[in-house]
Amino acid sequence: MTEKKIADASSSFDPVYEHTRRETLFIICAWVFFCVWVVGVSLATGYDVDPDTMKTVVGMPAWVFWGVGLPWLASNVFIIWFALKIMVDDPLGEDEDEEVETALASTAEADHG
Amino acid sequence: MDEASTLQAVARETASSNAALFSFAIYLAVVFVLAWLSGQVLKKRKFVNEYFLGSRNLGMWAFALTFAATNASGGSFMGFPSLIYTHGWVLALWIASYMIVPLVTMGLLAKRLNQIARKAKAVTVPEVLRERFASRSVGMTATAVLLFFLFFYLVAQFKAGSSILTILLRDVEVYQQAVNAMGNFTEGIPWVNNAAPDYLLCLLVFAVAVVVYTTYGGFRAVVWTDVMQGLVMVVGVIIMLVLVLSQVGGLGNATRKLADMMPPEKGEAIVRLTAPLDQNLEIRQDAWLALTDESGARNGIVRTGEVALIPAGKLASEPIKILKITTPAEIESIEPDPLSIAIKVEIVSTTPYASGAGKRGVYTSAPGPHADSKVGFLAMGMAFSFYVFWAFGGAGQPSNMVRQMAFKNSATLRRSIVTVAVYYTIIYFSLVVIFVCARIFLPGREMAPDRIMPEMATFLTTAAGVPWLAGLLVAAPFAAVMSSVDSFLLMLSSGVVRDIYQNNINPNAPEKKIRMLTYASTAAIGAAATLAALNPPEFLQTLIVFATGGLAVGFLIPVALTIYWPRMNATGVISGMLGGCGILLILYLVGYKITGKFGPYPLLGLDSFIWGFLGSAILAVGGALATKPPAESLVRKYFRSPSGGN
Repeated sequence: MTEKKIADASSSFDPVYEHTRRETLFIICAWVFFCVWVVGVSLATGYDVDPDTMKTVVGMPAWVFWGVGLPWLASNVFIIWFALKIMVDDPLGEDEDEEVETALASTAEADHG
Repeated sequence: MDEASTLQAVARETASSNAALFSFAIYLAVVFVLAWLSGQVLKKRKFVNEYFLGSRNLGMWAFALTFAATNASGGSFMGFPSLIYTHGWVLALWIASYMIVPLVTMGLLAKRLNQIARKAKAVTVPEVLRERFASRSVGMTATAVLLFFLFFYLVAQFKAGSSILTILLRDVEVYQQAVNAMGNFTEGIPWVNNAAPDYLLCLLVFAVAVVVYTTYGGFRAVVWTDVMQGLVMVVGVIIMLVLVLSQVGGLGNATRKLADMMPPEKGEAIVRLTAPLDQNLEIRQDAWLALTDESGARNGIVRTGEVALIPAGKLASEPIKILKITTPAEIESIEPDPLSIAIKVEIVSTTPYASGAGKRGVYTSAPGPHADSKVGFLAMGMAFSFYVFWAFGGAGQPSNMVRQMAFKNSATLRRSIVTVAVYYTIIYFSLVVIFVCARIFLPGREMAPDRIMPEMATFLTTAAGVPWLAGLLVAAPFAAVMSSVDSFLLMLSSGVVRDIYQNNINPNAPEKKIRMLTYASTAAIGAAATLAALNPPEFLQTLIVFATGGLAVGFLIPVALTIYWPRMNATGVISGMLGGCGILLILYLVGYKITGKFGPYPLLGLDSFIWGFLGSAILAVGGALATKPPAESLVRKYFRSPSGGN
């Protein structure tokens, strides 16, 4: 197959493929965002903290709260929003056993009917 | 030595209740019932699809919990707590990537991989690759890489499972009798008698249990037991969290105490009598002994790391391992064990921590103290590396990919991602809180920190007046390690039966033959792993990291490009797979050459996984672009809309 034909095929890509490609982009961006937040805040404020001036938030060292605890909560909120609102319910195709089970169920229904 | 002639200077620790034994017995009984039920389902379905993939029919709870439980191996409940205990709050940063792990590991590949596996009618990861490129060499390369790394992993997990059992059951009287019987039985058997009898007994119990239920019940048994194990883990952790927060007087209080702590010093000491005795004197392991000055005033405290014995007629013991506490508040607050006879402890030598010695605040800030490394536990480059590793290393594990091929539909996937995200938040953040507090309740455990989980479970439940609850809490590590081992065992047998035999040797083999071969290969692999785990190499823990990294760099990029890039071809997959693994291997060899220990060389301060991952990506893309594009029929089958052109 030539490069051109592959490019032409993009006009009729499988919708599952197109949806998952878009979702993957979201996921990579989310990973980068949280990585920058967690690693950035922790590197800037979490190394060699003086115990005499160390602050605590919700009982944990402040750098743990701002650099790990809060982004952890934020990531949960993001994941819930993304999984329930952004991800698309795509049909993934039939499986052999599903086909067999469907056929068996129809036969059983017909028998009982 | 005659037991009657030995005087105990410190009272022996009383045996704990049989809670661990009961919980283990009940746990095993439930596992076998679930395996039997799975076996009943198996009889009604098409064998290969059901045995290796549960008929691609996993619902939300099954998919979410099998995914979560398989990822949370024994390390999460034994190794991770011991790291938190030893290095403090920095472990929150070390594990922080788990906030995004469910999204990356499940969202990145799952939906598309599931779709392609259905189109290809594939039940294993190598089979997906083989069918996607219609290439037997791709399938065989993937199978070879998978089997190579998985076997190391399986052996390591067998060892981990047995070690956990020995720790958890060590105080149970019936178990000790069984250990003695095992020691007598294996005494004259060459090679086998090299293994400690307690380890050997636990290895056999563990191996037989896991091989039997996996062989009999297949994937569905593995998934159902994973669900049960996942629930045991989360319930255990929540109970521990409630108990610890109620007993420590608030997390802020614990953090402030932790900020004042300084790392202990490991060393050696002699125990000395004022006058010789006419019988042996023994001081047990894990005893707290006071250090005194010339006037007899207390000026320090140590914990014994092994038994000290002063023979009859002698004045002093041989040097024994000790841990010397250095935090002033702890030196004051820890009460030495009462002695039946006056002794004096003389320090022979002590070694301060390479990083954090004599410094306050090391347990509440990064990089965390370290006994051997001058840069501390988590240098800045490694903090970034771990953020990459947990998420993308997890996404690249074939055991996760298999589960992603098994869920029922997209709705199951979406809800499972949410469930696993909440599950990991509860488990991992709670574990950090629980075990930073463990430093306050149970100081001086640095010589055997792997025991901190069962010790903490016993301590918390006893203090709360509910000692029977310890049984449930210590079942969590059993559950964690078993839920990982069964998955890897099944993947290895699917590699042998489906990828090697059925796809390459005898594609038309009758189902009865496949069934028998599957049972035989699962049992044979289990037996081989048991034999290999009898006398495992010392660097086994590093092998786990090596195998995890190898699987991730071998599979993540090639599989991701396989399902997302129409231009990808067989050459790209093979070069990405072998190139990634090759780079990882080279960095391990360089690391071995430089340090003399089996471990990776951290090029530019980054973990070897990052370099393997980059190398795999460059070679996979380069390999694909340098060779012919894939056949049009394959691109059409896997990328074009069913109703699309052509």
